[in-house]
Amino acid sequence: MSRLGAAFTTALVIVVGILTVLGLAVGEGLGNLSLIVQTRGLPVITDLFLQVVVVTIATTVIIGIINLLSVHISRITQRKGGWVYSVILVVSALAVMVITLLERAGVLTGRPSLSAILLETVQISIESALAGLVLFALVYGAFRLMRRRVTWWAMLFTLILIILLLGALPLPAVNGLASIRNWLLAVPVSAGARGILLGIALATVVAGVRILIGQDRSYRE
Amino acid sequence: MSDEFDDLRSLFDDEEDEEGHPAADNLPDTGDVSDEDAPRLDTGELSGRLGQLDWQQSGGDEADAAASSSGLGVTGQLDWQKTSGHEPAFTEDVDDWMQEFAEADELAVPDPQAVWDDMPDWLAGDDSHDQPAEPDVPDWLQPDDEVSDATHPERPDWQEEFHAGAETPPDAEEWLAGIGESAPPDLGTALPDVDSDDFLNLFGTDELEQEDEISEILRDIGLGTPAEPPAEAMEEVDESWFADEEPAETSPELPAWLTEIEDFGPEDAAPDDVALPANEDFFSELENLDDLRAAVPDADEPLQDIDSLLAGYDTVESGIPDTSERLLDLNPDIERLLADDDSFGFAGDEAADDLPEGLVAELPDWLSEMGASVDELSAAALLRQGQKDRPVEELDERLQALHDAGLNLKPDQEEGVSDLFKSLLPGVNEALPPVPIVRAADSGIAGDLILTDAQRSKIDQLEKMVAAGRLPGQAAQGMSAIDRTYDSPFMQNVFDDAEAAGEEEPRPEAPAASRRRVRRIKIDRLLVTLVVAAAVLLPFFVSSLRIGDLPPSAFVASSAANRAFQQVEGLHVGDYVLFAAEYGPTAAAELDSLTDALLRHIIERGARPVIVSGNAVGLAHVNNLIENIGGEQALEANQEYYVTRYLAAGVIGTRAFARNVVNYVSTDMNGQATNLGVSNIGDFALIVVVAERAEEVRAWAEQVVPSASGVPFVAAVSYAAAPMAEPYVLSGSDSALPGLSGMLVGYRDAYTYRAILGAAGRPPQLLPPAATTPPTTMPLVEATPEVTEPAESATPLPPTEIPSATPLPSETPVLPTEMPTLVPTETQTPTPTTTETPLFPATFTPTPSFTPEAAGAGGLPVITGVINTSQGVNVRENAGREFAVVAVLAGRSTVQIIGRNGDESWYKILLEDGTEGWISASLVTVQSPASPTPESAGKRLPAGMRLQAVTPTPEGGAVVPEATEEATAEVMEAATVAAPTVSVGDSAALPVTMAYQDERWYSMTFGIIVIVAVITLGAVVNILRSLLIRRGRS
Repeated sequence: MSRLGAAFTTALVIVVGILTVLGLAVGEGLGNLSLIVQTRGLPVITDLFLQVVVVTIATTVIIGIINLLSVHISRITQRKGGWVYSVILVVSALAVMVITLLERAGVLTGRPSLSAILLETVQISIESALAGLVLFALVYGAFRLMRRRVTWWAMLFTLILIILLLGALPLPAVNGLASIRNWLLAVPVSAGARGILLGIALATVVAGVRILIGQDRSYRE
Repeated sequence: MSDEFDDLRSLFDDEEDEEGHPAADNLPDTGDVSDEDAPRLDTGELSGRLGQLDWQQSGGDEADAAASSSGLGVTGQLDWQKTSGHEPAFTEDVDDWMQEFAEADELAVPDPQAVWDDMPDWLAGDDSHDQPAEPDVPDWLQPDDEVSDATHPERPDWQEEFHAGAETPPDAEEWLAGIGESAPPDLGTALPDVDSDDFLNLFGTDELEQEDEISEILRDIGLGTPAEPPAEAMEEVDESWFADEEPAETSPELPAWLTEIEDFGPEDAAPDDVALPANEDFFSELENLDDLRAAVPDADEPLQDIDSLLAGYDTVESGIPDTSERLLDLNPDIERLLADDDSFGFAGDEAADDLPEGLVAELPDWLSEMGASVDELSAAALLRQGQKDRPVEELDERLQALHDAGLNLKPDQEEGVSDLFKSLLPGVNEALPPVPIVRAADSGIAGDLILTDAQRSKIDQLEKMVAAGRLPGQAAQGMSAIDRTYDSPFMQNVFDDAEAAGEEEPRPEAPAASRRRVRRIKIDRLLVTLVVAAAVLLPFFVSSLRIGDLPPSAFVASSAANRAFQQVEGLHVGDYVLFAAEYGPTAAAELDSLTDALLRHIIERGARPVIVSGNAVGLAHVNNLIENIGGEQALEANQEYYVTRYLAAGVIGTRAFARNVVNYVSTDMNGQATNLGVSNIGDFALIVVVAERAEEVRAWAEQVVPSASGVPFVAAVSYAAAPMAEPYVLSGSDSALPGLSGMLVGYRDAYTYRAILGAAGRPPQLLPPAATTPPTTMPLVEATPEVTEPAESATPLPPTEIPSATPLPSETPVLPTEMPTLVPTETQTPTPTTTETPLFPATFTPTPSFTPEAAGAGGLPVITGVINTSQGVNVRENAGREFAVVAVLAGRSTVQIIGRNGDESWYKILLEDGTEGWISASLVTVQSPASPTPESAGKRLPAGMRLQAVTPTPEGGAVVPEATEEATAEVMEAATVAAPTVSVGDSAALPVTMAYQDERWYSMTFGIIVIVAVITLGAVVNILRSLLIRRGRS
């Protein structure tokens, strides 16, 4: 039975994958063939598959919210370590939910809205500040880069880093470095980026083909 | 499983007698009757501690008592014993008889006659013995008169002699002399004395012949023919133990006594009236070994008995070491136990050589095979593999709680027993810490004989995983990411020579696990943090640190940024722009400026942005931004802009959106209908993506843009995403391909974009491609108002809706001309002299239709102006940025203009409170005296109408001067100066975007300089340090 189920699962994935690929690729770029495909209603099926995926993933967001609240509520009820933070989380989440619902219901009509103020003054501010702290970690990491060992790669990295930073300065004295910086960004960096993107594309194609021919069945795990 | 193994081992230990003689050539021991000095195995005590098997428990207590008191190896009775109903007659005789054997010292060499006389009747072959006693006697002990010798051609000698002795015991003396060494087999221990492996091997074969042999052997030893093949027993026994072993076609390894009785034919079976043991019960009892283990009251005591057994062999006599210490350890170090050289002498030839003569070959098979291997797997390894822990669910509640508490134990139990343990184990004052993982000493014996290469490699992997093998006190931590990075052959120290390459800088010894970790402040880290923080903060307060040039006020003509600007600039009124805000709060500080500039531009062009996002927080944030853009004249949602719902599912959601736009944009983020008139992605005039990461740009470029052929695509990305997004930017010649028509990057482009937007009278001044001239070298905009011709493609507006440029009054307005003499402060040098000139040039000719409806004092028309930005604007004491700020006007507010300076770059205004001040002309849109109200002037065109790029002519309309750097800076400085704010109209409640615009740029500039200095300093210091270390080492 398990073997039959595995075969059925593989066949289902292959069929759905082929239909989706045909609906997305063939349906849009092959002229008359595309018209035939579209006439057959294949794009409708493809859109249906895409919508199923989107709705499923969107549902997981709701499940995640419920799970988050349940976990922290259980921590509160069991007085586990750090339960005070769980209280803050649950209260904050419920407060935002209630405020948003009241605004949608027309009970709270202030402008700007209370939820917008909370978002801007609390979440955006805090997250932006935390992101800004990364600067210090990066600078300190560069400062200590060669403390453990002095290598050619470390020296090259430091040199390019300095050139890029100085080249970004709006100072006439470093106009020469700005030219070097522009060249670095335009040639080596862009070439590397294109190579990475091509690699990603090839890997995506390979992964898709493996799934379509049933070679990759990781979805069963 | 280990308990089962121990039980079997404890039973099979009876295979040897106390002197180490094997049981193969003897019968089960009957106690120490031959040599008192030899250690004895108190099997009676062992039996009592072991608990009784089912077939023991149902037996009579008398037999057990007799067995215990006599010291015999009787550990229980089989069913046929207890059900015969004649136990007293049998056991009492044996008891009496054997008691005397045990107590009489001189019986070490007993008197044959005395023994014979005292021998129980049934044993002496007394035919006159009561017949009921016969069933009690095993068949092989019964006088076998009915069985002919022909059926027993290979009857054992001792049995032959036994039968012969019924009449005259000629060899009784010899036989009895051997009693001290080998007693008659006791059925109570007969089964356990079967060689364990051989016995279990019988269950491990599938051969029919073997089953027959099993039946025959079991029948011969009194168990009768098994009702069913021993398949159940095979299931009970781990197949992996013996599956690979060849089935024993014969039983060469059986004990001699068992081999001999094997030759008994079926006719030797017990008579019909003898109650044979229930074979099913026996096998079911074998299957229920777990129940037997559960009946064991204390798992330690059997081990102790085994230890006493092994101690009986003693290291002096047998060479087998005392293992009591290890076996009594409930948490034995298995690795060490199996690896130590002296753990088991059987494990190698060297140890076997140390054994007394005769003992080496007679080691129990199970013990010998601990060092043997089956298909490269040792028996010990097989045993360990087969070991299974009892499921936690089968434990009682208290043990389960203890198990859970053990899982939560901290590595260090310095604080003693927790309250949880006190509650679980009342009276226990301390708990053992978890067993430390210590690498066992290298053992050639164990390593060579027990572990295969594959097993050794697995152990090495496990030790790496748990970081075992370090000395006690050494931190159990694996190789860090940095160590792994430096482990690369490409990361050799450039200052190390070949000899020193392998020498690593001695790593600081990690603190012991028991030592409390001390948090030390790293001075260098603190200094770097403070220096960098000061570098990015000081430019906000110290003007002398504002070094460097501001970003250019215009894009390079051929740049991707300029193409992006031109794409937006080419929008028409009513166009829909798909605006994807794919960034969250972490990138808000960098990308909000770009988002704000793009949205302003789109709205000012009369187009309507349709905002989508795969980031829910980012979507709400951009909604707040666009609400703030309108200032006091808030934009109308779902009319002038649209914020649709969140796009879930990442790339797939983006693709689904491109294929079904209507479904996604039909409702906004509040669930309200948008009534958008788009049916597919091609209905949008422009696609703008503001992305934090390159993945979002890639998703839109690959999933959406191909479906929207002909729709230009513009991206605004952060500095970090720019390199990976750059490949998607199209050059000017391949615009037909799907890709980015233009791209804006980071704060620098945002600054320039806003400078262009803030400068009235677009199109902006474009720079030649190669000249990235800083703004200070750019020629300032001519003071002469620049008139832009209406675009040819512009759709004429309906006359009623066009803000008509009402002609100015025919008479030249007479504005007061002031020549203020300013008294500059000491620091303000040189002191400019502001000469006010008439507001409008002399060539300005108002049309005659002007009706001075709004006349000021003296009948003069009131010239008003509207701040053309939503941000605050400084009002200064005099015409120039070097003068003090006297007030700050809110954006979009209306002011009364009462004069201007000579080059018309500054207007003198009159505030509501009567205060006079100067404001940059570039920030004010002058309204003619008869022009529409300030509200209508500031309003955007209604949706659905195309913007006619009409700049009012000097003859009638607003004079829109070009943007200057001074004006742009003035906008931002307005927010920084602590001056009284003049509230003109409602101002935005949310923070004004792009505040501290210049200061932020100067902060970035100075911060980069300091950061470069810090990094350079660190590199130099570390290089010098490495050189010094190398020098000191050499």
